Amino acid sequence: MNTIRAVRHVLAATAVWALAAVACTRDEAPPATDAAPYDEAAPVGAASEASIFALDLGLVDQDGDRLTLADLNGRVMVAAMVYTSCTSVCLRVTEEMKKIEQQLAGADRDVRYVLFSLDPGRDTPAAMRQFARAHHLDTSRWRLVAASEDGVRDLAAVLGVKYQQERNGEIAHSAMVFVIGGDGVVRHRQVGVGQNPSELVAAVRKATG
Amino acid sequence: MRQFLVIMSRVLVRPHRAAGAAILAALCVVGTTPVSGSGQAAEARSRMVRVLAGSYLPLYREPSADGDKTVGDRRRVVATFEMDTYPVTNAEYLAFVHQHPQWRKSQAQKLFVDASYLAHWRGDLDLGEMAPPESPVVNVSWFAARAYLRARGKALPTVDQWEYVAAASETQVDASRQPAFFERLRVWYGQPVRRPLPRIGSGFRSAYGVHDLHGLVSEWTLDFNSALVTGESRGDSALERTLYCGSGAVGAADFENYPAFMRYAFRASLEARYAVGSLGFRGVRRHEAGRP
Repeated sequence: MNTIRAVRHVLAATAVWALAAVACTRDEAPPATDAAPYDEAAPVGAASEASIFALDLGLVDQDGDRLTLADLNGRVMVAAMVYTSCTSVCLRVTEEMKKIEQQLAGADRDVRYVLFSLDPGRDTPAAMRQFARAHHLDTSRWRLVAASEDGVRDLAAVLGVKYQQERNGEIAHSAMVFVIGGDGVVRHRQVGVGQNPSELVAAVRKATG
Repeated sequence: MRQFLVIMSRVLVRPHRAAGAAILAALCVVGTTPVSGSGQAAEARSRMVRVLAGSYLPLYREPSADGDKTVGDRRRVVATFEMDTYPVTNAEYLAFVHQHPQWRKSQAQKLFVDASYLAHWRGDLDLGEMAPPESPVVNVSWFAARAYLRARGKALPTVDQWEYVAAASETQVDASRQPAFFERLRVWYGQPVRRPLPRIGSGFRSAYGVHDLHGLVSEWTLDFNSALVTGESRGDSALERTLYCGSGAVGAADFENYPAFMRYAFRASLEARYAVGSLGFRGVRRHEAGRP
């Protein structure tokens, strides 16, 4: 029995290591698949250059106006997925987007700042309006929008945002800021917060070019 | 990552062959208690099986504000639902793309599928020899699987639903404390995928009457893209690193369940538009009282 237990520990440790190794290399490598010869030619996992506007997604904004995702076309978007009752990272994401707005001051007439809600249950138009007021977001440039629960899943999947509802009502999620062209193609993706926003600013300038 | 399963098989199988034999020997002793009640076994009448409510111990703990690391109360509750008896087959998916041209191999939007979408089919409406009609359809993205199931009034199972059912052996609905069961799954994960894929029903039949959850292909889950480990984003700037590396192991609730480690690692490697040759899907729907 001792032997079996020891072996199990070795196996478990190996699995932990394998998980870490697999996970850490996931940005560089294509996804897991078999090495069958007939699909070798396919460049699995190549970054999508497709427009997110292909997603048929109904939204409601902070004023209660209904729109579709595709209605956001035509202007460069600085976007993130957040939720308004969040008390930490969402706020930093929002602050980061405000910094970009400041750096682009006067040159961002064609830029729209969009916060997509991860929490359609609680992010009513009133809650989003309140959030915009509390964080001094100029709603002539900022738009807060919520989809259905199913729609949130689709949008998060399209953007590569990972999230999870927790039992305490909070939502664990990736902190990411996106620069999306007027054509709906994601031009830049920043992972994490607390970074120098110059790359994002440069990406916006390039996209608005 | 393309080599994921192959690497896993090398890492996990080779150094431990002798150990595997020892654990397989233990298999003869445990795991033979029959399932109580016959309702669970009343299967396949509508090709969906009712899965009764219960709870399971997930691989990962949720973060807790009080820093409590005990495992006992970390079980997750799953409500009664119905699950497809078998994974969706090539023939069934072919019928779907006949009805929904926008999901044909050559028509599907690049936002929703990568270049491997239905790579093993000969053509838009032609399965070809690598895609036997009764074998599970693979090389379908998460978006495609969702579209198919929506059209059938079903949905993808959540990770909770899938893992809850996956904890069943042939004879016990909760085999999550049986190393011998894990060992057999580990052996399966170490085997190369057969081409073309065998027909449905050739894999494993669990105590719920659900076939092929193990032993044939991996399957999509609705929330595969959940932030699944404890080191999630709030207050954490080095997000992805902490999310998927160190804390993945730290947050694990069950170090003995290495097949689950492999499933979670595989899910974490996926993106919704990926089409993978060993990844298929099946549907679930909410259980409604009165439905047989």
